[in-house]
Amino acid sequence: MNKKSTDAAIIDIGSSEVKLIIAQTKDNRIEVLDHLVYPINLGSEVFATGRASHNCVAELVHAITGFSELLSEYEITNYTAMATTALREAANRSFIIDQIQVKTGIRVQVLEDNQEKLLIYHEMQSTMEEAGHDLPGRSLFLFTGSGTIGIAFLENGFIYDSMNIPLGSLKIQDMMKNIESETDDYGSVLSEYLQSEFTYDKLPDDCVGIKNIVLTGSMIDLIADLTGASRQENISTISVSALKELYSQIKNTRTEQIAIHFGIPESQAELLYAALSIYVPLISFTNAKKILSPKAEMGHCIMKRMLYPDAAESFLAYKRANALACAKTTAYSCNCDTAHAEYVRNVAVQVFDALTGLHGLGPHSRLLLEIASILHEAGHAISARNHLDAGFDFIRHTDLCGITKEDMLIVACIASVNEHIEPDMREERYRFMSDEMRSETAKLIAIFRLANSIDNTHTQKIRKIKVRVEGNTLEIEGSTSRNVFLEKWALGLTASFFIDVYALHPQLKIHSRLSVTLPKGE
Amino acid sequence: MKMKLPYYNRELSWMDFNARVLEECYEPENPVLERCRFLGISGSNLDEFFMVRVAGVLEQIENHITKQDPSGLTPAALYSQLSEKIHAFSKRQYSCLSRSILPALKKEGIHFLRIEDMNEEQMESITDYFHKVLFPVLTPLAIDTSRPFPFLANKTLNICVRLHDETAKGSDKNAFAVVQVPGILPRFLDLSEVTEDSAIPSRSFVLLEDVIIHGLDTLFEGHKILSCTMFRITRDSDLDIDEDASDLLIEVQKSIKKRKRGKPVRLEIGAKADKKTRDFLIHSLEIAPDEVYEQNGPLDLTLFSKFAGIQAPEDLTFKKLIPVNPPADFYGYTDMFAAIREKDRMVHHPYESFDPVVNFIRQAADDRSVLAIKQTLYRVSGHSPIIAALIRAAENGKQVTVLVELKARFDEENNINWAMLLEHAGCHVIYGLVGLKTHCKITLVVRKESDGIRRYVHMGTGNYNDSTAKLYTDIGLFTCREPFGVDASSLFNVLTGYSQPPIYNEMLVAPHGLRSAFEYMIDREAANAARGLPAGITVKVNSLVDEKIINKLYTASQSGVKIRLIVRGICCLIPGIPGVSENITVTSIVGQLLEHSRIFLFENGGNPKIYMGSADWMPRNLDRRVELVFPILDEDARKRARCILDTILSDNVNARVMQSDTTFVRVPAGKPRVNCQTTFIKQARQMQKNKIEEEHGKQAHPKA
Repeated sequence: MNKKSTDAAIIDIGSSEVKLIIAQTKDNRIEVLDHLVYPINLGSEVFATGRASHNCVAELVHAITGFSELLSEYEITNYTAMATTALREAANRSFIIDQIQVKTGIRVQVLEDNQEKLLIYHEMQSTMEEAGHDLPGRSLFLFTGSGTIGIAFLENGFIYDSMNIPLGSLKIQDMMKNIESETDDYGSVLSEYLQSEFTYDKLPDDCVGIKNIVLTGSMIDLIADLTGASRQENISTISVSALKELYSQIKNTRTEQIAIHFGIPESQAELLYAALSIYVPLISFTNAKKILSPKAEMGHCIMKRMLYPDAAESFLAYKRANALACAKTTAYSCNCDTAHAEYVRNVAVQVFDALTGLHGLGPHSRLLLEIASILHEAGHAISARNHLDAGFDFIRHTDLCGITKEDMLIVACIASVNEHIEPDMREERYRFMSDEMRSETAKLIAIFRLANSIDNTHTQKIRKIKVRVEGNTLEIEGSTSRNVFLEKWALGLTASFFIDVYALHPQLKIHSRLSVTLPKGE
Repeated sequence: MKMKLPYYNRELSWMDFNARVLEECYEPENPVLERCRFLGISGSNLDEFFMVRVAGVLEQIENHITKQDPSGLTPAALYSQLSEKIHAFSKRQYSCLSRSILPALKKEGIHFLRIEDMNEEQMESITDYFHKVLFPVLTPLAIDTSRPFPFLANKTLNICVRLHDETAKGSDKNAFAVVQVPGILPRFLDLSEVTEDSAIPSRSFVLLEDVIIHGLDTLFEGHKILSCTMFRITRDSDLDIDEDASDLLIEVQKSIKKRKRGKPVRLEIGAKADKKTRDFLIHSLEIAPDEVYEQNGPLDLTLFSKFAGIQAPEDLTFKKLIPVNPPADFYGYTDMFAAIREKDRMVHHPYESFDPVVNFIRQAADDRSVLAIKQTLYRVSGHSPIIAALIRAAENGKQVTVLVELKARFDEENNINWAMLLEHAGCHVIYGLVGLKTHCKITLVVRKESDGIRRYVHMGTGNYNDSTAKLYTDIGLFTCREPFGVDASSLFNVLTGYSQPPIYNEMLVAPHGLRSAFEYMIDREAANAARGLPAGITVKVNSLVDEKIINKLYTASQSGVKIRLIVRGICCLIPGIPGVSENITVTSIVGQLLEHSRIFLFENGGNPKIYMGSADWMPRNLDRRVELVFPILDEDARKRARCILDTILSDNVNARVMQSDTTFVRVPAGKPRVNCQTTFIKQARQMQKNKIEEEHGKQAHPKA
């Protein structure tokens, strides 16, 4: 790995604690210099009341002030401060972020659920790989946080579907406090509640084909201890039957009794109960006999990206591969024309790459363009009459592994235009975008419309496409022996917007008997 | 029912320890001024014992606490035994003074004169001193109906003067006044005459109170003095601090003021006190008769610690111990960091100089690559070079974090002053965790080097106090091993309150896991012994009180583990009881230097684990303090640690062995005579000599 920065730090604001990790690279490995854990009640307050109290915010600011002192002690400038579920869900999150920035100078980035989960899945997979664990066939990845649960389905190492459920052990723990005193049969009540929240019927039908379960998150170390799991390197192997037995042992037991029985604090007993209530029903959908539990923390993944450029690139590749796989799963479930989508994606990517010096966009924008290309026909499954608007709504509310809501809005904007609709950037959907985001969206829309027009007939007539910029012309060169009049016509419709954005004239050059050049300015 | 295991009461055991100190006063092999010093130490020890422990027992009685301690004694029963033991002890102290020390001093030509023994010249001299120096500072305090008994500070020396009051109504014509002996003046005056022709130069001294009593007529001119009685009170001095207060520093300051007004727990009066004065004092001070100690000699024996420092021929004191400097581990190095980077370095004080510790911080203060220095301070010396270095570091722009323990008993005021000084210089001063005293001794230096951040750590068994480091035996370890650096950072993060206690890599830290670690290691020895594997425990601590640890040791002993304990002070474990502790030996070392290091060796089935640290085996160390115990990993340091233990156990000069009846018996003087403390200084010199020869060898044969 190449060296980038010798030291870096991460501040991680979680639901029940705020952490600071300071690390450096030494002898080509990451050495943790400091690891601070400061307990806070952010999650409990936010999940119960929707917001963090004044005292809680003051406590958080106090901890981060201390952390910032430590950062200056180590003279660290390369740091990231991030927050997950609790802060994400806090109604007063803007105020909290502002308070932290004003009082400590540290700007906190709130990670979206999809971003957070992808980082965790990546770390889980890396740990498994480092320990030499292959994951052949289908796998289920499960992460239980304090406020959310992430589920990912993998095929041969790639995530092809994922879901995030806004329910975590801390949330369940808070709920249990209420119901335990209300009913004797709280075990059943909790099961019913979880079933209604989980909508298990949405889990893929082929859960039964899952060979590997990889699980991490709340209470997993304690569960591993209580089930007599074997531990090798950073991975525990827990027997499914032992896990189920543990669950049945405590299912109708009050948390106080659980605490006494296992010699753990009552708060831990509640979390243990909550975690098992989540894990066991999910695992029951599979035929797996064992669960692998790697030590995986989101912070480590981010730290690697900060310290090693190679790791940043590799994570981007991971994100791309999984996002595309998930997008394809979604497109497939919407009966999209996959051949057309793939064709458009290839052309769009070629155009994007050819314009690199002109659009100034990076690989992330390229990925959004690819996802939009894959999903652009999803609206047909909902409405034949108004498929573009239907597609827009569908895409922007679709969860894709690693992709943020803001990104999905861009994707939805790209995918919901075609050659007939000239985008008006004053429209409502663009109005709340920042100038930067609006500009990025426009650049990607211009490319997508061009690429989509090349396969106007969904028959992929033009082959061997090459794209280059020649003076003030974008030359798309291909070959076909078929009539491409419609494609040329459609390209003509997209040209005006493209020229507005790139000041380049698109030109389609076909190696056949016919060659059409659009007049300049058209 | 669970069987009650033998346990010796800690207060009674402490008294036995002080008795061992007193035994040194009788020891004819000790130079006479050192015997005086031991007497003074036994006195100051007893003062502290009254202020804290006896006061605690009395408070329990007052609060009607009847719970038995692990030895089966209720506070009342304990006090009864304790009182008897202390009275007998006090008698022994004074008997030692009059029968052993004063005659021995006389033999050396040193005399304490009574007024009536003085010659004219000496009389003139004290009269002059009284008028010129004493008279202006003396304030007689009359006591009558309009002037109540004055408040007298803890441990001050006073004279109660009974006067004849003609003006008094009724038959009682007695009036009382109190004259305080000024604490700021020397307690003894040198009245020596120059006698050049004498073979033994004669030295004469007089006690300050005798000079004052001699001049009382002047002070009470016009009054008839009926009697003069010396008295001294000792007060309850344990601090009661509200740790939840918003400013701990102010809270401690308030408590110190309160301490000065604590309830009297002991009244010492001169043996020849007249009954009327005695009754008057008992009544005025509201003290119980069994709290009165009639002393047959000068009150406040701590004066003899100072007296031991008079200019005198060399043979009247122990041979001065000059610490080896530089210690062998640092010989040939000017750069402390370079030395530590090569390997762990161990220093045994006071045989080896404390300078490396001071230099470590000094160098860090001036080193451009150093980013931060963090240190815990429990007790520091008067003009501490360490504090000066920390201040310089802060002035040089380093991030300096200092944990000053404000609750260090009897050093609270000192520490408040240091804390304010450090804060003023720009150091980040913290006061530790609520409810826990920070007793660990650790310094962390964070340095930015070419290959990244490297942390240098010093951990010790004793305080960062360059003065006591000349008298206390302690061990310090310097290392830059990464796991220690991580642990040190984590510990300071816990102390600053910015992090929860982590799982430490190497260190054992109280109160989060030190107890369980010790219990685990003792159990492991028992299990190993049962399986026929090498097992054994050798531990050196200052006190062994913790009931759970004691019970674990009994169990290990019953499993066949050989347990060798070196306990300087309190030992509540009773060794040598068949079926319980026959495999346990307890040795106590009381000598020229105060044994202070804590070393823990567990044979661990042939893979010995050696630790050192700040913790004794007492509940307060394991549960109510932040303590640090660290493993010794470097092979040379491990050998040395084992050698230290073996040398102590071979001592037949300073060592006493505890018997199953709780008494201590001197180890029979064998041949050769082994005094571990003098052996250590020889070893330190030899180690340095070996290093010098090694260096010369390298210079002579550079390619070798």
